[in-house]
Amino acid sequence: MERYMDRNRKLADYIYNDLGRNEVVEIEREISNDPELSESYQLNMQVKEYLQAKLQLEEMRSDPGLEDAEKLAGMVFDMESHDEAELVVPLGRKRNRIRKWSFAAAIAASVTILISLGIIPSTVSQDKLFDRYYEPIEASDYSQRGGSNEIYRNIANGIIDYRDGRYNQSIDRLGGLSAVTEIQPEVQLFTALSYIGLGQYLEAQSILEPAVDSNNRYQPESMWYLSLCYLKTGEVEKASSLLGQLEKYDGLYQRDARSLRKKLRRFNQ
Amino acid sequence: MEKNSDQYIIERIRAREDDAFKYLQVKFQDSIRLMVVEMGGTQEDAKDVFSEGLVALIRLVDREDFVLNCQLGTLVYALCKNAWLLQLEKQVAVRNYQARRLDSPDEQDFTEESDQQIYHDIFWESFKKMDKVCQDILGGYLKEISPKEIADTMGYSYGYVRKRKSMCHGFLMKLIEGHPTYIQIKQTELTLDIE
Repeated sequence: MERYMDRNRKLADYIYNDLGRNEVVEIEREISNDPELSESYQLNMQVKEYLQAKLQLEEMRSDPGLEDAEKLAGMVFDMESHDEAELVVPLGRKRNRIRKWSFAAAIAASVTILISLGIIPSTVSQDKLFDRYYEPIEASDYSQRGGSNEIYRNIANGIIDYRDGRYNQSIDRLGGLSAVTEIQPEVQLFTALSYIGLGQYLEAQSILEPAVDSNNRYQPESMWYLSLCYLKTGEVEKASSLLGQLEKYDGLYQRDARSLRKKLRRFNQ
Repeated sequence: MEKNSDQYIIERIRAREDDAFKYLQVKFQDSIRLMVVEMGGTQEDAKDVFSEGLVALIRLVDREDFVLNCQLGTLVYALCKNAWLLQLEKQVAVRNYQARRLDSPDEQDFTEESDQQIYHDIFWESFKKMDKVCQDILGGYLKEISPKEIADTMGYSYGYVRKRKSMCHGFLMKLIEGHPTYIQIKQTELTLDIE
């Protein structure tokens, strides 16, 4: 036991550069000969390196000189934005993106605080998983289908509204088409997706559940987004079961479904 | 001028001396990587952001009206943060991320990245759980302050600080390895390995 304690003390001294030259040689030899000690050393170093970076980052973030640093940074980035005035993203979405990401960063910071206080431990992880896996659907293929008649023009416009992040407008426009049988699957899918975009997961769920059961042409999409809704609303088992079914479909969601389901097992244990 | 002082490094950057860039990399790359990851980016995004931040720093220090009126590290942080926000604005990061996810032959990287974030939360939570003396002593070591200076600032002897540091680090590792989420992840890894 004493030898074990002594070895751990030496390991701590070693990783904090607090050993003499001979002791360094001795512990390095022990690390290379003892797999258990080597594993422990790896973890200790991982912790040290992370904390070193984290403390430095926190120091930078709380530095009273940050305002001056940001002004200096603003000088060079103003310069760059003049150089690269016309960028790829359409203006409406561009602003939206920045807002969304700043908002996401603020949420991430708040979540870290909440974790450190021991509040909402499991939902935090579920939210994180949702954020990593959720992406709005690429809607260009759908929106190009419009044009042949009034109904198809309307559905195309509803989908364009969704694609451009005008979720409320999309819901309103698609709501007027719900009685048209032949486009029912599109109407259901994009109305649900717009609700997800608005963060109204229960509404999305109530549309996607019958869509999944009806075996329509967007069944894989409906299953994928419904499982994300379940994840968000804390119904992990339902999400997991749906992902298990989705894994059987060859296609876009198969791999993501498998990898997400693996992670969800942690919540089920 | 003192070697490795902020002003010294600025002069070396102006002279395009490699040692200055090496210094910045060793000193700040890890914390910038962490910032990018905490703001939703990946390790790969972080590499790009750090390079862009350094390019911006070169452009800035080359300006005739440039005066360093803050810490160099804080300036690197502000530049890299701007670079990351700009990248998001261009949606490059988002596109790269999507492309990587679609093209990546193996999901392992993503799983590991996600686990990494959970580990980081556990490390930080455990560090914050320790008493203030432990946080200050380990914090001092981690910021590469000399043990003597830590001892003088805290009013302890050098020997005590050195001994207490080992105890605090041991306690920190116990908190981490005993954390319920840490245990759960390790058990899951074991189960998946067996499968």
